[in-house]
Amino acid sequence: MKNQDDFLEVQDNGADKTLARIVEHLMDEMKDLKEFIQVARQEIQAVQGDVAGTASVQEELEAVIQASADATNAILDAVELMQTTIDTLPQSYRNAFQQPTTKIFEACTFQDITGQRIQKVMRVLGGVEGKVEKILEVFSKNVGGAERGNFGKCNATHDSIPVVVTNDTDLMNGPQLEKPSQDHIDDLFSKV
Amino acid sequence: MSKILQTKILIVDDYKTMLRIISNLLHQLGFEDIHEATDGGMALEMMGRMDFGLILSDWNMEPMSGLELLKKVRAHDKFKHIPFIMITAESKTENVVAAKQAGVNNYIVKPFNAVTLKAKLSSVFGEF
Repeated sequence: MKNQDDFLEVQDNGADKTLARIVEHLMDEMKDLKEFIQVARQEIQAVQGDVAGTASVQEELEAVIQASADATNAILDAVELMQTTIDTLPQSYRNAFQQPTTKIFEACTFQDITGQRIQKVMRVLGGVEGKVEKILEVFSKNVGGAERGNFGKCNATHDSIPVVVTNDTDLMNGPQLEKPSQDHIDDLFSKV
Repeated sequence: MSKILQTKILIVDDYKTMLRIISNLLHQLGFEDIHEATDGGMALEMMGRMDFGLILSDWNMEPMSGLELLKKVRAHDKFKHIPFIMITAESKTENVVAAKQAGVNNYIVKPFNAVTLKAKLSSVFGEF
């Protein structure tokens, strides 16, 4: 190197190559992630006996929701039938059956929570898949040998980046894994 | 029969199974006049035809969420005084705050039990 400009040029070329390697590595990881999602889909379909792979993951999960709803309704049919008979019994007998039938009704609320959890998972998976596709698209348009000056501009404009809008829809998060107790909710409610 | 138990109640939930469960629990508590709606639009239409003494609503519904239904109820001269209890799986702080600020009378988190349901109804009607 004869002077400072030569030194800077060497440093600059080195930085470009390092950046290119990092980007290439990222692309490889994204492609692996995309493949992982596709394999997971196939495995889920195989478990359900969908050998042809024609049913989507969405359809499979919706079938789970429907199956649990059908089972819950069958339980409710039986308990409601029991209840009509219980209502004809003397009060002391009715009291004895009240608690168990109430417990059955309470337990059946699982189906609503299950359905909401599954829908939440479906939304997250769909979102992840969409993001991976978008990132791969952006990278494949912009990375083709990151030579000096050819790295180019990212085509992802502000328009393609989702804008988070705070509105009532943003409050629909579904059941939480660590659900606060009713007592906690009551305490919060009283303080607002 | 106690006047409280004669209250005409409207349950709003897009899950028909949940409507059935809540209806059965209300029956066990002694309520008989129970009506069901599967979305906010249907609920508002029914409220236009009948005088309800209580609304129990889910939050997570489309196209009108339970919060939107609550806001419409509170904005309507005819309906704004009807007690409104949210029964929902939404349990984050911001949900509770938003519902309270919108005028909800009480808030039940799913899954819930009959004791909680009765306690929240009592908070609106008094002990029964």
